[in-house]
Amino acid sequence: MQKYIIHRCLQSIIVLKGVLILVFLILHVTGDPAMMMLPPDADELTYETLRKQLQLDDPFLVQYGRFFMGVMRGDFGNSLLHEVPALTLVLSHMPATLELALGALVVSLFISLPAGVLAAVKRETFYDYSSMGVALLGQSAPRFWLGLMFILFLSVYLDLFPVSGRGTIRHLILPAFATGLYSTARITRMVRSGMLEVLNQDYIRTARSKGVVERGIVLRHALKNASIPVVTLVGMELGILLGGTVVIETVFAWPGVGRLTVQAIHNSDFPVVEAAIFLLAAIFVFVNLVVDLIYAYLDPRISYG
Amino acid sequence: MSQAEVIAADDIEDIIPAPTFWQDASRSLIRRKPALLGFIIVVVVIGCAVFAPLLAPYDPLAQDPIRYLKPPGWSSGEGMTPHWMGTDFVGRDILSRVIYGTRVSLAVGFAAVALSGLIGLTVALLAGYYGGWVDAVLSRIVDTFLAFPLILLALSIVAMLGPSLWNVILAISLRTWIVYARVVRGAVLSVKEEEFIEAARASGGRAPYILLVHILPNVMAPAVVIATLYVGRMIVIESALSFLGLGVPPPTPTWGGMLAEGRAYIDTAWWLALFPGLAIMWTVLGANLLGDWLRDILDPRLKGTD
Repeated sequence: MQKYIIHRCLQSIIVLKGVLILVFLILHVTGDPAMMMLPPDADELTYETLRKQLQLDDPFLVQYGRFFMGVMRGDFGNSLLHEVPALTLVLSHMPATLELALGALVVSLFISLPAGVLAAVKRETFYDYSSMGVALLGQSAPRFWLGLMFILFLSVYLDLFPVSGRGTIRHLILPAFATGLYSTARITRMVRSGMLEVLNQDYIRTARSKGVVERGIVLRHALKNASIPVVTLVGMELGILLGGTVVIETVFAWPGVGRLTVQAIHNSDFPVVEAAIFLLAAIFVFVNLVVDLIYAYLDPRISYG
Repeated sequence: MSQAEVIAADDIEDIIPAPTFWQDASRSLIRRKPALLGFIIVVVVIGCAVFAPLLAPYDPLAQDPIRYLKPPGWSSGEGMTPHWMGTDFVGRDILSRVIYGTRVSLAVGFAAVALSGLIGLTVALLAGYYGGWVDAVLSRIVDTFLAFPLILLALSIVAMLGPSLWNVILAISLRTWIVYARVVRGAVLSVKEEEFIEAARASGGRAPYILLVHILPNVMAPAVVIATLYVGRMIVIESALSFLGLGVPPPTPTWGGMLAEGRAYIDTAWWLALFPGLAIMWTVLGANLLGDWLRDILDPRLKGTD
């Protein structure tokens, strides 16, 4: 187990280094940052001055080395727009994004676990078909459009929830639902197929023949074993949700990292874009690492090679 | 079995040839209602894209300053007006724009699936066949891309390259190829252990020949399934990029761009945001239903990989 943990940690560090290289490549090689930051009517002298100021004429490896050393010290440079350290700015927006992602995860688990279990237990009934139908629709509708429709029906027409912003639990409900519905659909389908597989196993028949009540069979015997693949999926979903809140944050004017980054991209505020993408990727890598370790702990059949 | 019975059985085989793959597939498509629905939706959407000039009642770019923000005819009680889905803030016909919007969505959907398939298959073939350090390096590259938030990566790339149809396709493909790479690599690993590969190697076949002629055709099934399942995802990603203002630039009608415009009028003109979204949902639903069916007939082991 110890060897496995060290191996996975080393892998994660390599991936994070890869993320840094890629972030740098995208923002420094695919385009000209100086050109992007200046207004279209800027003259040649201003352009050259800015290139010098940003040290863009240095060799590529020197620029990357400087960037890498800065990141090691937690320094992504100052935000060009807000004139504060980019990392500090991104971190100050992180609680809002975490709140939204966790809210979305709670919503999806709250709906998908009972829905998936019921669909499996009541297999091939109206309930099964309708919940699977809704799950399929949930997977087909773009989240940001669902958000717009929630605003239209629940905020504008029925006036039940605020249209945008953050603060109270009422502010969180609509964006959390809009963000979480896609995951809800995926997890429901996964729980259903996992439960169906487990419900056919011999030990379930044994439990039934011993006289265990159906409720106990479903909850204690079947759900417990069907939950192993779901744990992995839930972990991955959290990682995906953190990056997937970007458009929803824009729809609901939610003051999170996603909205900050979209604004930074529009304003060519590169340090903020770099810090945000790196931080979100780092959280994704960390969550995946934790999930893998939990998975290895839950399922002793997994080899630690 | 008597000789007569054997002959009779032979005769029957002569008379009724075994069904081909396509006959089998079309029968199962007709039997499975959701798949048939998916097929019909996809055909209708492709039809809209191809015959847009014939189907659209108006020029999608033509502005009408007098008839701006008109609600759909059927909802306003005025009877069926020519604008079935209403008009937008400069008087353009929403229905015509939704019909023309299929072109960008399908172009991005198909092209991004093809480009990411090309990159992903190449990586999967190399990593799976050569193994060792090639596999280790390529697998870490896949993990690196996987860690990137998809929309932010695509947005950054489009922002740097400039918004255009091809840059959107490139930006989306640069993150989605990893799905092919991960799934197909596994298939390559199992196919390369087969005896016919060993035979090909023993008879002097070189690596590129073995990869392209012997391994590639045997790992195409999962790739085709992923491609179908991902067309819908690509369409959603494109619409999100357009919604955030970094997709295919105006005035080309895109569903995501129309939703972005609709957002500003959500409290006064609901039809601006409703219809493009329904069009996306409908198209993605069709692609997903068809993808689920293809997965079940081509490669049922892929269940759960989406």
